[in-house]
Amino acid sequence: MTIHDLHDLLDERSSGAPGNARRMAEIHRRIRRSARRRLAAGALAGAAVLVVAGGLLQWPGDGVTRTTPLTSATTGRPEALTEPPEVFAGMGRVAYGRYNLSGTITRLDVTPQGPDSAIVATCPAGFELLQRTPLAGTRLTRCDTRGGKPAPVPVTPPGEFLENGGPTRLEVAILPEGVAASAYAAIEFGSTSPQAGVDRTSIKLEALLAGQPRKPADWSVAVYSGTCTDRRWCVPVR
Amino acid sequence: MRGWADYTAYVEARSPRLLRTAYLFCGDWAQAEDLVQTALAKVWRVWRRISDQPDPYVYRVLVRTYASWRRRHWHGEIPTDFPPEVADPRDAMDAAVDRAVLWAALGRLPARQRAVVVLRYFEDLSEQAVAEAMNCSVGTVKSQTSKALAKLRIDPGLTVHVPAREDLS
Repeated sequence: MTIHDLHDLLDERSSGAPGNARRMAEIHRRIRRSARRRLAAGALAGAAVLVVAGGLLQWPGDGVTRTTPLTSATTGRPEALTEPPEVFAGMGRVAYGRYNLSGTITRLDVTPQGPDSAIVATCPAGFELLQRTPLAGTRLTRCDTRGGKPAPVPVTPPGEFLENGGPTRLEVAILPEGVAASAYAAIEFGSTSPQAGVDRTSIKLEALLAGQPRKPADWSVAVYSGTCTDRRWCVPVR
Repeated sequence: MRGWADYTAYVEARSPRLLRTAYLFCGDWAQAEDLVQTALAKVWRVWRRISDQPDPYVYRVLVRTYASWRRRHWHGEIPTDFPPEVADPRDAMDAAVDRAVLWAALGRLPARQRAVVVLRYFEDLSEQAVAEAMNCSVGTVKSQTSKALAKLRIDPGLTVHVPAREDLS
């Protein structure tokens, strides 16, 4: 066999192609269909970008969660993060926020529903939760874990942080363990001086967070308010 | 600017030839029609950007689409316990049988080698043009062509009987 034979064979075998008078129309239809598909895909991608951008803008910055009791349906959560219960020590949940970054302050406006209140945080191992309220000031609590997964831990017992009768703002953030201790020591012992005239409690939290990189970490905070009915958590003498 | 009118004129003028090329790629007229229409529809997206000689890009899309279909689709091979009968090269085969065997051998070539053979020996493209169409180097075209031709020659059905020395004596 020679190249010439091959050439002849290809020519011969491909001759007698069936005609197709509608070819142009069919190609046009394919083009329109392809354009529609790409348009739909683009719209879908655009919607996804908007959702992501909306999420980034709203969360986890300085947003305020109102005191309207939230249900689990309003707060999507990953499976690894255990949602705090609706009722804790007889008190109902009045605020709940879920976040995915460390090193950012989150604010929740809470209106007490009774004489007792409590904060329950769920945060991963290796982190600490910082909370600040007008009454209790800034507190630092180590995150609890069960079997390596974040688990709820009451960080402020009932009766210790909310003033009964009026709305209170709770500010919370998480940081890697040890960061807060070393930063507080630096501030307290003069290596870092807060500005004059600025509330010392306030500058500590902001100063702490300012120098910290934001890291991915799923965590949540729930606020309970009402009348404490569990002796393990209730403050015996008010 | 090349618009719809130019595109339509190009499709009407070139699609019959492209259909033959596509048929030589896949060996089925219906699939060839599908292949050509798919490739030409893809070409329209970039019609304004491609040069006044759209053939190289059209060939490239055609080859790429064909290769991707070959990867995804079943090609009709049927496993069998016994190899197909091989023509006895010592028989006096007429030209028609010869061509049928060559056609069958061509169908057994890998997709890229088959594309190289078709573009080189049916479309009469230069090695450089084939390289552009296949998005590879000229060296690759040469090696693929060489392998393809070698396979066609050494295909059992095409083996030419060379008389042994004792037969000649």
